[in-house]
Amino acid sequence: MKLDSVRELKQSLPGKLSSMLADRTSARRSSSVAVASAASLHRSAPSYFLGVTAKGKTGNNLAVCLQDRALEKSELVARISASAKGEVDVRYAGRIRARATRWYRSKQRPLLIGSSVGFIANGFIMAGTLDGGNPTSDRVAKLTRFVRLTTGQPNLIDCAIAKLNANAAVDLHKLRGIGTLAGQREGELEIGHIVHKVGRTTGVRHGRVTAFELDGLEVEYDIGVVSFDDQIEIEGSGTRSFSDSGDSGSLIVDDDHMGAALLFAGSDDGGRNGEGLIFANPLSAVLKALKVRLA
Amino acid sequence: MPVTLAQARVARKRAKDELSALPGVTAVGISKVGDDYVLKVNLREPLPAGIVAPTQIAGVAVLCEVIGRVTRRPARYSRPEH
Repeated sequence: MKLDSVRELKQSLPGKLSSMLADRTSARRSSSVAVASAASLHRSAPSYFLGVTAKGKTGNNLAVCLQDRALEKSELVARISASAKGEVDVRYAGRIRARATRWYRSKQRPLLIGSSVGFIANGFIMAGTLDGGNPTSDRVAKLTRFVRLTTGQPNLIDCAIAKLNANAAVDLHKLRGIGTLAGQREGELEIGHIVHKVGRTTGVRHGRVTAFELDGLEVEYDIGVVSFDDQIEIEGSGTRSFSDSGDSGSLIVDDDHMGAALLFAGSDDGGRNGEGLIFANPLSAVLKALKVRLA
Repeated sequence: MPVTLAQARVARKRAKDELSALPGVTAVGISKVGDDYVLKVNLREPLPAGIVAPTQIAGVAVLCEVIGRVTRRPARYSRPEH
């Protein structure tokens, strides 16, 4: 099915099915209709949701995620399948509950390294709006310098720096879940070195340096493909990735908790565990460009 | 005698020309296998049939890995559609 067709179906089906099942239920009490009706109409929580899933390399299916097993062989699912001419992917998803907010995605005062602060707007750093931050009351710093990326020649770093407001409470050394930031590493990371980071999306993760002095690293940005030289490559430890979207800007420390690199990009594949690789700027290059040093 | 970092750096400089015919190369760096430094070549997708990466450049082994696309890591929403 074409993507537009699936989207249209996904939009129109819930309304049609609700009215159809309501009419049928009031008209006669067949068991399958009753189950569907009870599940989809009279429960406070939704009993199914629709989405789009890939079919082969170019096609799409209507994804039907059920939150009630009683719906698996119901008329509701049969109707959805018929409407989609059989191009459906029906799965039991179970009940979905809101996850407890993780500390690194919530407001932390004093500010902590790696927690949910770092969205830049109008020249200000503020608590992440994605995590419920208030652009006015959670304003904590002012952007003072950033390095402009270029698409025509290799870049070395992707970074910016902000000056904290005078009244902003901050713990500049605590790496929650790791230890205490011990300073800046002297010398570059080597293959096999164990590293750690705490970041806004995945919190504390551990990894291992798999390559360095990477040149011609092609990273996809909104402005196009941007090339970087002299980068560090890291894989996650165990079965986990080292980072995910939203972890950019995480300070990477070595096993002695010395600052060593700045996380900025990643892949979805690769690494011994297949969970992807991340790429980082050497911290020495970052600090040199921003004309600062670690406190 | 293990391949040294200095040898790997020399090979990395030559790699740009040697690997220019390979499609989907997204980075070339230095890694290590045992005591030997090697060239690490990241690929966006597997090489097409009939195209083979060099096994060595300037006496330094070439290690290829398919890692997919490399993207920046901004925060994003992930919410099921209903």
